[in-house]
Amino acid sequence: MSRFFTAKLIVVVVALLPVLPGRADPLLTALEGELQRSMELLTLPDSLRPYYMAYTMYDMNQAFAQASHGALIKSVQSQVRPLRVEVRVGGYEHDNSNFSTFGEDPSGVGGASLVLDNDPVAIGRDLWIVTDEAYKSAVEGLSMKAANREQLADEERPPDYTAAPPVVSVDPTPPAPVDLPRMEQLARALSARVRSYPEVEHSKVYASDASWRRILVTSEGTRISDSGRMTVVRLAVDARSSDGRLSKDTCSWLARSPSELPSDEALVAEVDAMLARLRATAAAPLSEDYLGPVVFEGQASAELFRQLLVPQLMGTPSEESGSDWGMGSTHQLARLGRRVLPDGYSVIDDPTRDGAAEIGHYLHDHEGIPAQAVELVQAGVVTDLLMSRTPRDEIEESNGHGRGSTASRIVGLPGVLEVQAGKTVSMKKLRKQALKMARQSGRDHVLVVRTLDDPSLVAGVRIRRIRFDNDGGLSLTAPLEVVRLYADGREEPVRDTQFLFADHRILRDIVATAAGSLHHGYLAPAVLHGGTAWVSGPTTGLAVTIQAPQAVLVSEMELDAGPASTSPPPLVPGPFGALPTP
Amino acid sequence: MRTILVLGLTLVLASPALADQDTLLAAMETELKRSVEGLASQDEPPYFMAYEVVENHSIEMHGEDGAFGSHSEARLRQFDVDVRVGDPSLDNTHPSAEIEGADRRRGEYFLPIDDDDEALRAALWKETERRYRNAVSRLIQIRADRVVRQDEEELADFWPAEPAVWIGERAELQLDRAEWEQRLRDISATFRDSTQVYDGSVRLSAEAENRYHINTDGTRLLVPRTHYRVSINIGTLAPEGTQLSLYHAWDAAQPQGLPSTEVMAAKAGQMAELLDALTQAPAAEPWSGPAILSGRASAVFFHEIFGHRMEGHRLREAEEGQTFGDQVGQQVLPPFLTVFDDPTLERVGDQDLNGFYPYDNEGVAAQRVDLVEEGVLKRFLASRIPVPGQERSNGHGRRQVAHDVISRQGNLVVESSEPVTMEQLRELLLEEVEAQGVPYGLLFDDITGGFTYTGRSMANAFNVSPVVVYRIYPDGRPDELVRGVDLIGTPLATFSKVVAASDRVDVFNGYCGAESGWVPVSAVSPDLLVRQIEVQRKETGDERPPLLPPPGAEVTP
Repeated sequence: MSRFFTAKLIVVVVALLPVLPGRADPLLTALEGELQRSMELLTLPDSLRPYYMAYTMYDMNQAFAQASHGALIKSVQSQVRPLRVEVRVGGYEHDNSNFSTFGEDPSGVGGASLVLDNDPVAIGRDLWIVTDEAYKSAVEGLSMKAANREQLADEERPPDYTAAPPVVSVDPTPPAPVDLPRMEQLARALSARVRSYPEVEHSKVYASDASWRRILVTSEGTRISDSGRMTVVRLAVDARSSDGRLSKDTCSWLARSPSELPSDEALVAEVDAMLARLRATAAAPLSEDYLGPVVFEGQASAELFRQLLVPQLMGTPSEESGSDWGMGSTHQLARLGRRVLPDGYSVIDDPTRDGAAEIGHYLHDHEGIPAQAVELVQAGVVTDLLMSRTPRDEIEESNGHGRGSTASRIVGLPGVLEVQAGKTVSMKKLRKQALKMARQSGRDHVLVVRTLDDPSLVAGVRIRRIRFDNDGGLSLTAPLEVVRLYADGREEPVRDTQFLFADHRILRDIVATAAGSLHHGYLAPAVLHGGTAWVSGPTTGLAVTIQAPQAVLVSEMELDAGPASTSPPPLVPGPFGALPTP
Repeated sequence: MRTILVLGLTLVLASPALADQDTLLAAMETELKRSVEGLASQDEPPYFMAYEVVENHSIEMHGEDGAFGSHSEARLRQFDVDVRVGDPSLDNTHPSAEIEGADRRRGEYFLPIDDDDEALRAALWKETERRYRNAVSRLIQIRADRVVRQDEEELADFWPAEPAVWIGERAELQLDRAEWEQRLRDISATFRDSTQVYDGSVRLSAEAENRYHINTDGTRLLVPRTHYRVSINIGTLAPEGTQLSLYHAWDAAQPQGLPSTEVMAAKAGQMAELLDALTQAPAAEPWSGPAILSGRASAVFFHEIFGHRMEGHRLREAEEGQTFGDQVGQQVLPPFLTVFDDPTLERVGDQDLNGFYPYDNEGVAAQRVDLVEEGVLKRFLASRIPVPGQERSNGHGRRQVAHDVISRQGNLVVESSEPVTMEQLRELLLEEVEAQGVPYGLLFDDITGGFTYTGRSMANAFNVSPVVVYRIYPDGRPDELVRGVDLIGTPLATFSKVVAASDRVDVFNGYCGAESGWVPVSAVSPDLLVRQIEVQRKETGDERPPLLPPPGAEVTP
């Protein structure tokens, strides 16, 4: 490992737009000024000066619309400038980071909201106070960490942070305007489709358009300014069956702008198809206990890898815990040399891939490191991990996968992940094999799962706390769309199923993979200090693309009917159209 | 109190044409009627139902250090469905310590902001179903519970009320965004070069609310409300590490009612000076002696310590302290004090009152309630929840959306029949100082708020937090600013010690939080002299002030 790059300066892109002489970039200048002043002057008696500092700010436009039953419930437009400040004291080998304790914030990371005027004085004052607090938290954190180590056995530990060569890449493009009327129109139009489905009990459509310019300045000399945009449209509906149980389904679209969403006709057609499927599911017989082969198709195939594979590839070690409230063995799962998939499988992550389907694309990660293609799995065995600048025993350098939010830790997360099987078969052959295996276990059908619940929409709750080591759940979320496939090609929907004992080990039980792949975009929650991840809303998170096989066959899984959440049929019929009678 | 203007309430009958144009009101009426008819055949049909929809359009903007800081705008409609089953003598709302109340928050309380009849009615219908089932389930439990327990006192659960019909003119937000961006810059510019004010922000909150209320008594209301508030919040750390902050707000029903930019900027400057003085001021010591509470401080004091104990529903709940429960007709305050609560007051002098409303959240017309006349307790604030010794609601049933209505304050007004001038009040204070042999008296000049416990399970006490306090010396020394006190005590003991009131009144506009959520309130009072007040030391901090001066200020090595 080479940890000191001070002589090297990598200039990746320089000023895509002309910056006129004398018209400096006021935001960049304000951040640089206060960073430099703080590095030079911040000190407490008998304490260390910062050895590293970084400011990340987003100049952000947001539009959000939410609709139910064809009408707007919420419409919000805002302009915000969230800031992240990170102060490290000590040195790369040993600093205040990677330590958490209950009730205190020793992270040296702080946040603020900067003023909207490009006013260097007011911005400077915002930075001044938040930097002061972050520095004090870092100094306190370093001593708390030292005190905590006194109670632990000496052991060899990786360094706390890795030096990186400075990167300068400044594109001063301001954030694009966002389109609230378009989001309102989409939310209304898509949610209006449920009107012809009286059995739909709850329907929520979220449409969000966010655009930003990011500026990152670090004390190592990195200066990055880039811009981005993300448009998210999601639908979550549930329908009441005659026995009172709820069945649900979801659709999501993630795009780089509203114009890259599918056409209105295509969106409406997809929603209609989903609603028709939901109707069929709600009318279907309740699932019975099942032990046998399971086919994961489409979204469910991609979600299978997202939920069970990705957490095994996130290499940033968890924080040392200074209290019994620690969140446990966050990264025990990520281990080099571990078999995670069948033999022929390989996995790479390459955030530099850039296309309309690759919404997880980026050029520089949240620590300013250029994105790199990483071969994570070869022949089914983990050969590398997604790394931020926080080293682990076997891997000391970042590979440009450090991602986080202004309030979170920055940890190794995927950007554009591709899962490839060495050997594939046609869809037809895969189904045939599945049916054959089902027959061997005495069944005349095989279960085909087409949609898994999206971890960031589970229960439709807006803010939830989930365990980081789950990245949304190491047990699989509930299957939403499941059919019984019979030998003659007949399909019957099944209602209300859940997996039993489905953890990451089932990936090794994939016995066949269909040819062809699909791109699936999702929003990963940022990982907070203390080890939890917040799903802060249905349209927020870090965009990731998974390119996964069209379908996979898992040799044996167990499913049964989910816990009943029933309610009696309505006493007064709905105002529009009668509900199905029991 | 001669300066008070009383709003004459006129009941304007709804013009049918207007109501027909209002999709929301029409949807509410259709769905209420359909629900009543649809549920009539149930074993326990509702005997009363109400729909209340609160439509809110709000804008928040802030400025700091001379820059425009943020802007957000939101439109929301939230709603409540009230269902009563059983009969007024015993219904599903009957208080019971053993049986959980209705959990409103589990329901859906956002309604479409689009005037879309189908979506509006679908949402009302679903919540009505949920609330009705909840009501029946609770009634069954209440009845079962009564078989095994005996009730202390037989009070009915619901009072009848006259139906009210009034369609007010819809409230609309009037705000020039560009103008206010500049005003917020100008007002906050005061803090731009300050080395003492670490956090200084000026915030504008504007909201227009239209509250629709219909019920099965025939009540049909559209109650508009607009509110504009500019607030200044500044903070610093005293050298030894205690956080100090000052807050000031102006409230008005219309933006024109707010002071000019110059006036607000001047106030910001005074606040910065005062904050600076506070960092130098000595910390107060625990002390007991005479004190003057300024009008605003007295107003908060009365709201917390007296007003909350006038809320009638507290008299029927076993876990409540019921401080004044059996004192109607008795002297509870000095004879020169009269206290009433009058939500129909729109303003005092030129100050708009935050607690103004024409109809409460049960659709009952707001009324002035004379609580204490010449020191004698007369009656309590009441909603439609029966209270011992009274016969009907006096228009004080209030709530925030998604809460159950209880009796709350609106505009609490304290008046004195023997006002003295401010100079005389100071003289009286100094007389008390000498008589008690204490070195000084205190003047509580401003106050941010407070809290009180009315329950039985905790000491029935109060705590209000004055932010600006002066020591007044008898030897002619100038008044001395002190900081860091909490005013503490038990309510009954404190009231008997009010000895005089001034001839000037001041207003505290704020929001009050209690069991039925946050509601806008005002309290109005003259300055009061209290013979004995107790203060305790506030918690102090040990935070180190910022290590560096603000950027741009002279760098100290």
